Amino acid sequence: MIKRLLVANRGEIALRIIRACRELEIETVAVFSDADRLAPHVVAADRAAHLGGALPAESYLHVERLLEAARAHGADAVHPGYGFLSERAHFARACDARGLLFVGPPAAAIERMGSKIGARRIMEQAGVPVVPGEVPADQTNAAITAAIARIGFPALIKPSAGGGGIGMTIVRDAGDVAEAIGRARREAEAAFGDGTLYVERLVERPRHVEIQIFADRHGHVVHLFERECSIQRRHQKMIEESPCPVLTPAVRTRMGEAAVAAGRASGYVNAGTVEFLLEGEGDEARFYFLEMNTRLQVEHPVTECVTGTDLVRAQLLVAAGEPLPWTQDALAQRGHAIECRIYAEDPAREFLPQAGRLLLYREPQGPGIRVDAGVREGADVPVFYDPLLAKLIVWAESRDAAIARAREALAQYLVLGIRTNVAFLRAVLAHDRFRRAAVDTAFLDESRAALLDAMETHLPDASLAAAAFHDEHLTATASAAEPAPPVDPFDALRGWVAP
Amino acid sequence: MTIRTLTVTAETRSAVARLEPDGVVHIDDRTFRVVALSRGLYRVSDEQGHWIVAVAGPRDARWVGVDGVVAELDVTSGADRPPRRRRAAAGDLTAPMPATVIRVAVAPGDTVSAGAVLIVLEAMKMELAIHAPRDGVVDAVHCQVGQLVQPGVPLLDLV
Repeated sequence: MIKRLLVANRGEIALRIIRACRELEIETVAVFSDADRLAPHVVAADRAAHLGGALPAESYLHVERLLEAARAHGADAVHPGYGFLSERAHFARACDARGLLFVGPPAAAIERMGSKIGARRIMEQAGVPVVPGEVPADQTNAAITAAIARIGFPALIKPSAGGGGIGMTIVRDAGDVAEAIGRARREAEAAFGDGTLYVERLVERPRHVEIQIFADRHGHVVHLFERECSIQRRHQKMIEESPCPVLTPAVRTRMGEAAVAAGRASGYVNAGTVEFLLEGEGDEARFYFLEMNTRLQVEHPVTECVTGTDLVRAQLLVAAGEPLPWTQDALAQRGHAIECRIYAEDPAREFLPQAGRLLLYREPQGPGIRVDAGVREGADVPVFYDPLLAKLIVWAESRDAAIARAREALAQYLVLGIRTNVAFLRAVLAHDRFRRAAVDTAFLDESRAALLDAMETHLPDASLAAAAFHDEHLTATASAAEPAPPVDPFDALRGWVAP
Repeated sequence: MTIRTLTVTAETRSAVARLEPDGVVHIDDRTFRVVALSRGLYRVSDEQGHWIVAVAGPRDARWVGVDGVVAELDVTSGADRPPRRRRAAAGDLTAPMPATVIRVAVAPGDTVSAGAVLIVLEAMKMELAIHAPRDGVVDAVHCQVGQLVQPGVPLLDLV
């Protein structure tokens, strides 16, 4: 088993990993930059190593300094978390070379899945559906028309040499094909000097649905069902849930089998996610491989909530050579989980990232409420890193109950000093299309104006009274011989901010 | 028995608060009773109901949170209602948040047209360009590449 693990990350995911390690009696080494000297993950770990400057390149992305910290502190394993170096094959390889156990897939699997074209080829060979497409060897109109007929309508014709959407033409029925080919070819020749055309099936209004997989070193590969991640803004996810409300049991089974096949074909070990585009609903819904994420995902807690598993614990066990703690037959989904990502950003100003001091920070509590946070009241949120402050995950018996629970928990989530997306998240959860689960990956961008309008902004007079009273109360408690509330002695420890 | 009169100003409205002993606070013509629950947390009540309100920050950047709504207010002495609180607008030549300057595209004396990129900032892995709000001449540049700048501080003067 692992004795001492270096957590090569920061924020909420570093804390998540540290907690799992403590439960397994693994000692932890946190790493930190100049901006994170007393950050929550540093305080929580058994040991801490300074990496360097605040910029990621000088700290959390600096491979040599991470490896040196691992050596200096006698670590025998490294967990990369997500982001930063988690999907860099060279980092996994460097850990191997120094005799450090990398808690993640083998470097070769990261490499194979990191190439979009290579990954697509592996998936095709494994029988995993990919968006149908080809460059017809015969580029005559008749052959291209035949290729489009094979892949189906609507289709996309685009220059093989191209990019950036130039010369892309959508064809919706056979009657339009001849004209569209002509136009695409002329534009391709004009723009790239090469009229070779590529044809691809157009996936319209897709949902983003991903399957969690897990593999051990003993040949077992299982899936832990799906996560629906269509609520995203410029490819940044904001709300994830499981189960996907529109997936039928038949499609769920087929997607799970495809994801397991993808894991086997890529020689995968440890936790991974196979992302799919889902088109249509019911048993006829089609899904296409998008990409594979060779790491733990931000949204892994929704899977943990509905399957009753601990994915980080399993990662550590599997990395240490143990078999998977569950068989496929033992895994099932129960209830409904929703994750809301709490970002330091201002929805009213183009979601501009925010930084500064968390003057007041109180998390919601109650049954079925989990908060994975990387921040602390009184501490600064630095400008240098991802604006994710925390994740609110709720679990309830049904989707409707989970939505109500999430909305109520967000109303109790108090973050003052930095603008956040909390009110915006509440507006999304209340939106009719979200409630009906009638969303796709374009929903958030299309509905942004309506969601901003729907954000609750009414300030009751009572809040102005409290704002005015605040000084009076602070003055009174600071000068009075007999202190007014708070009376809890531990409250006296609050408000101390490290220099 | 007013012990203090304050004006509380939000983006959308402004109100006079008159404080009396024992946590009695009048907001315009309504009367509330305010009790501190814990640090920064208050229970505010009147005959219509009660609210739990979180409060933090100094008078000129006072934050309140109630029922999922968060706002930044100004609290000033007296009953003079100042103009409504204004948030930095897109045309201001200031950083909207703490950020690192990654490019200064102009120098003093340069003539710029409206919309031209003047300075590029980076914060939280996002780039943000500061554009010229109008045609003009750069009078002075107050920042340099690599510098960490704070919100509200002028980055550049345009005349």
